[in-house]
Amino acid sequence: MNKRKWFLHFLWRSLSQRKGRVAVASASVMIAAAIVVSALGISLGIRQKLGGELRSYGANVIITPKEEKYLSDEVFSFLSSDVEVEDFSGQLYARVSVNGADVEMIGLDFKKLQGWRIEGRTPAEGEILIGTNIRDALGLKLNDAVKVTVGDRDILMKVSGFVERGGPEDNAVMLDLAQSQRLTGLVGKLSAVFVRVKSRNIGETVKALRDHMPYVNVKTLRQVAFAEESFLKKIELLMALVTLVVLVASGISVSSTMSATVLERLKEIGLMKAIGGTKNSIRRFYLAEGCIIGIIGGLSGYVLGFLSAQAVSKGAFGSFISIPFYVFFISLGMGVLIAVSSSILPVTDALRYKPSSILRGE
Amino acid sequence: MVVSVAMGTAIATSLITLSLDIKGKVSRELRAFGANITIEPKVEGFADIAGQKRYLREKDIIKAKTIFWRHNILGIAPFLEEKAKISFQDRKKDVTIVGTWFEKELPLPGEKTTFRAGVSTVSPWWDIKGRTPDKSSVVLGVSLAEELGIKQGEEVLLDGKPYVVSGILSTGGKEDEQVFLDLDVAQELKGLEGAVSRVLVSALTTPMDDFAYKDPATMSRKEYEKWYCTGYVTSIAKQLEEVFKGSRAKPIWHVAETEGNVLERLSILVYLLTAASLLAAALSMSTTMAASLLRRLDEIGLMKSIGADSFKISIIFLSEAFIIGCVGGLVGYAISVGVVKFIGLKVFGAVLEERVLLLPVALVSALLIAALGSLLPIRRALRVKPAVVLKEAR
Repeated sequence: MNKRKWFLHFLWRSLSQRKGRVAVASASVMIAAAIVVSALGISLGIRQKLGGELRSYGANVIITPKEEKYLSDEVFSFLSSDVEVEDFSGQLYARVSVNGADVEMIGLDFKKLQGWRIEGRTPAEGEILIGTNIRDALGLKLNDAVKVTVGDRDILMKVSGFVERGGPEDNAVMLDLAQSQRLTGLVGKLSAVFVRVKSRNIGETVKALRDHMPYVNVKTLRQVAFAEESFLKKIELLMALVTLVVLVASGISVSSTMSATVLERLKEIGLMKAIGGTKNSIRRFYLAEGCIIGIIGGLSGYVLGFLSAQAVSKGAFGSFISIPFYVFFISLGMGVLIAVSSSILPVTDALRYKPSSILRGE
Repeated sequence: MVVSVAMGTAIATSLITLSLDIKGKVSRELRAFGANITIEPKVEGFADIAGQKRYLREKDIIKAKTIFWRHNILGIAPFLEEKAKISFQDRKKDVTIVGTWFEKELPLPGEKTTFRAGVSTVSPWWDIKGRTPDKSSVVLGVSLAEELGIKQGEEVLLDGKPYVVSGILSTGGKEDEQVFLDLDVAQELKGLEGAVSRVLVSALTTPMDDFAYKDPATMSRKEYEKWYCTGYVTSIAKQLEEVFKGSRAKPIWHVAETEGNVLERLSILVYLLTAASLLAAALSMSTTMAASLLRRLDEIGLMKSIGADSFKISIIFLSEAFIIGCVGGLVGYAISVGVVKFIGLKVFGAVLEERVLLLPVALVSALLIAALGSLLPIRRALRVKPAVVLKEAR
């Protein structure tokens, strides 16, 4: 047998005879890798997950008419084709009279609304939603008939519900957008379009929209944009630091476990030296063993970590998280690095001793 | 083995501390989204929306810092909105003027400290190029300024009175078309001393749950007390309503709801991570314990052969695990204190409260880790047959 074959044979026999030891070592590398993969996976995906929650804050960009009084719904087709745009919805404003009181009417797309708590239901054809201040001022009840005067036309509409938002809606009456456009004779026209764009590069997206549509005003809704970006950055930093802590702690933990198992193999090392093994070949042997343990641990750790990250994401956000593929290589690399570095040092130390002293048990 | 338990405890305790304080810190960060409560004059009849204007009293504002939840009131700002005529050179326009405080230190009743109020505390995204208004100056919204061609430093007339434009404000919202004055100046201009149209409040709140959404009018006495004494946005609003005469206070729902959602998600996330790390620490303790027991098989064999029963043997190993747990717990606690301080400073720029109460938590989790981790390995090791093991003895 040549040297190479002997080396591999020795390695294989060692690993298969001490399955317990290999299993224990791989298991601790696996656990460490799993924790790091989970923490890393979550911190990489948290922007996207939290962004989903923040989306319900609504639009971060608003488009309003420049020289004309109204926007045309051509704006929608521009927005649909822009990749940075996540969602948009249009509104139409007009002054109308409800039972003689002069109020603001808002035509909006109820399907795009998120989480409005309405006492009653959203208005269907011929129905109207009333803000609570208007309800209190006019003493209205659900299903009442109200006289709505738009321009010089009077229409009878049914009160479908009441809503209180703590915003301008409380002082307004609301209708489905299409219906409001028909009532006011402004079909296809809008007073404003609220847009939600990806929060990372709002400035650039707004600039691009302005270039595409020079005849309208495009503005960032600073309230939303400003707060979101700084908040998301903080949370990303938080998760990154948690990952770092986890990495360091598990690295130390695994190293100590691995070192312990190596120390007990002093006798093996002594024996190998006694039967003629050179320092180098012994080092190479343990290096190879460390690599194998590291690979097994890193691989299984990645799978375990991936699954647990998904479990945590499902539990916290109700959906799965997408983890970049390079995390697989990080797990593998980390496993090998920890396994090898924590076995090499004690081995180097052990090699200093004379085989006879080790075998005698000193 | 101690190291293993110590590291595991450190991670778990750090995460537990973080999860306890994170809600508070993140809540504060979320206030960057602006006011979550609005206080307006109560609407009672037709007249309230048809021209007759009702006002709140400026002097009630400081009472917001006397309610049960006063420490949760982080920001407050009054607004007086009226119509006026602006003229610049030969251009005239009907505009809405808004009197407010940009930054005002309010002395707290019965205390030596002051409370910072003003627009910067409820709308931190307002971007003013220039200076905030004072007795003789105003700030214009950017769209209005562009429309009339007015630049910073020029003089305008409001209802015939001259003011210098000290700055230009940009928000993307309706403020861009309005004119901003110091509250006193606006009140004097319109002869409405001591009056405000509306007050915005930024408060730290507890996320809403099903219980909180119940109509307080339908709650039993006990339920009502529970609701009132929990910092829900609805109960804080109610308490504010009680101190502002003739008012109706309501949550600004699109801000309050989202805040609640985000906080819940983050809390669940941190709890799950804590649970996962405790589990991982127990597993790692398991493997280390297994490795060490493998080494001591002959000890076990010897003990069994001289008559010790499994129970006594397991007690010995469990007490070893207990001691390791205690030491590991102490070390882990010490490490976690440092970790939490570091993270708190880096992310939130403030030290998270140090809770000495967490030492028992650290110990308990360490012991839990040690116990859980040792159970299986000990059980397996006990199945050893003395003769087999002793024969292999070196």
